[in-house]
Amino acid sequence: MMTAPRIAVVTGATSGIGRATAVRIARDGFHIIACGRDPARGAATVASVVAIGGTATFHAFDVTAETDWAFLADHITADYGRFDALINCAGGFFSKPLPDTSLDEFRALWTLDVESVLLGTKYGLRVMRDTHTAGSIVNVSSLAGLIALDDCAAYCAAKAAVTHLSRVAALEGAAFDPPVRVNSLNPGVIWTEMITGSYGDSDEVRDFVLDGNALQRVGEAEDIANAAAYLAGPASRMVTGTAMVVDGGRGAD
Amino acid sequence: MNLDGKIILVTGAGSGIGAATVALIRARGGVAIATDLKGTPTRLDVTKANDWDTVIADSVSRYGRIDGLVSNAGIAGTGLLVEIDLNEFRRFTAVTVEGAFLGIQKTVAQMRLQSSPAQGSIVVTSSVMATQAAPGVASYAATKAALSNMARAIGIELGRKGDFIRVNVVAPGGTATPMLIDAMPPGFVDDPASWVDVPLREPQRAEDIAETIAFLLSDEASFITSAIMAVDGGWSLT
Repeated sequence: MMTAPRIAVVTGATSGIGRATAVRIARDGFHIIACGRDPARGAATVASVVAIGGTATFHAFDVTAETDWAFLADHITADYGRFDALINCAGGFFSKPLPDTSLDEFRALWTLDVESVLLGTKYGLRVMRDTHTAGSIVNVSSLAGLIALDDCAAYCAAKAAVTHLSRVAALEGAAFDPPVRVNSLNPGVIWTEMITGSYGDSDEVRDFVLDGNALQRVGEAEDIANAAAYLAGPASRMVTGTAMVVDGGRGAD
Repeated sequence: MNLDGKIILVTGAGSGIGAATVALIRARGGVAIATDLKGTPTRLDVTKANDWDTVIADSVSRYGRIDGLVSNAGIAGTGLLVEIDLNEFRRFTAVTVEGAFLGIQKTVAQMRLQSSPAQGSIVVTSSVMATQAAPGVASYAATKAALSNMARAIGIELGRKGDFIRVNVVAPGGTATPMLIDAMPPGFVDDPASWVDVPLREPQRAEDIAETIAFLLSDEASFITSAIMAVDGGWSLT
């Protein structure tokens, strides 16, 4: 008997943590549905998955649009009949002192970081429930959702919302038959385009990032991808509602 | 999550989580030095500094080095706080806190002899009871809380001193092991009614905890230190 391949949706799959996660969990045998805005960059992610022997399809996708999620949910239900893992990596960041942050700026980040995860978790839970899949949802939050950072009020608030929304979703998903697991993944500072795009790619920035870690190295997208693979797969069968911190010890002191 | 060639010392390996961890380390290509108070196969009383010296010296003479420690030995027992004998409380302190203290101190000293910077991964088995409350578990809860935060503090301390020794905590919820079965009334662990307040509605198996320990020991977790990883079916959510 042929076993249907496990299906994983990865948002934000066109760069950084999302792309690394798509490639990493493809190694564990998931078929990857890579979601993002830029088809050219999406094609590069698909090529990276194929290069390690995996399979992937790209969906041009706006994570903040409920119609896109509803369409994706219908597609997965009709074409695969199962939905094993959703890894919500899409998100944004800006740094600005709170007195200088406009309500529009706050709302734009809230939409990108929180509403995207709310929608993804909503449709992920729905399809997993309706297809009776013992799925796993991983919401990439941040260490900033657990501790305070200077000049990052909007980001910290948004990531705290993602972390706590995930805990409530874990309670709801646990009641399904079979249960669906939901966890947040809370990275420290990871060397991706989100950081270099905001602060630049200089030795000074790298030293600043290093200095905050207990472990004397910079976090890479692959570190988070490994953690996402742990949360997505059977190794974490009894893990739900946790906020998994991967930060080189940055937040513990 | 392979552990190819890693030499890992496991305490409390005679049963339950320790035994499952030894099996998984070996299945993933690592070498597990299985120790237990009861002497199967290697005797180690974690509260005795001399025992640690002997086991580490024997391990190094046999395998050349130690890459990891799973400080897992623990004890269980219940009692209302007003009735707990101070000596009983001290027994929990000795095994849970001092045992891990000695083990981490001795293992780190050995790892520092092996390379510069020192490398290694240490995992301690704590409990959901380090952060949750329940009646009758004062000794267990207090010493597991001490264990968890001691381990986190050591993780930061080692990193800041330039070692590359990671220290992490696994925090299981109710796990179907001989230790829990012996501590609870007959039939408790197998009765679904015992787990209705846990979101996933079942106890962990020892193998579930071993999976998380193996992940933390592996190079896939090389950016994780001073973290607490709950494996509790959502127990600590509410």
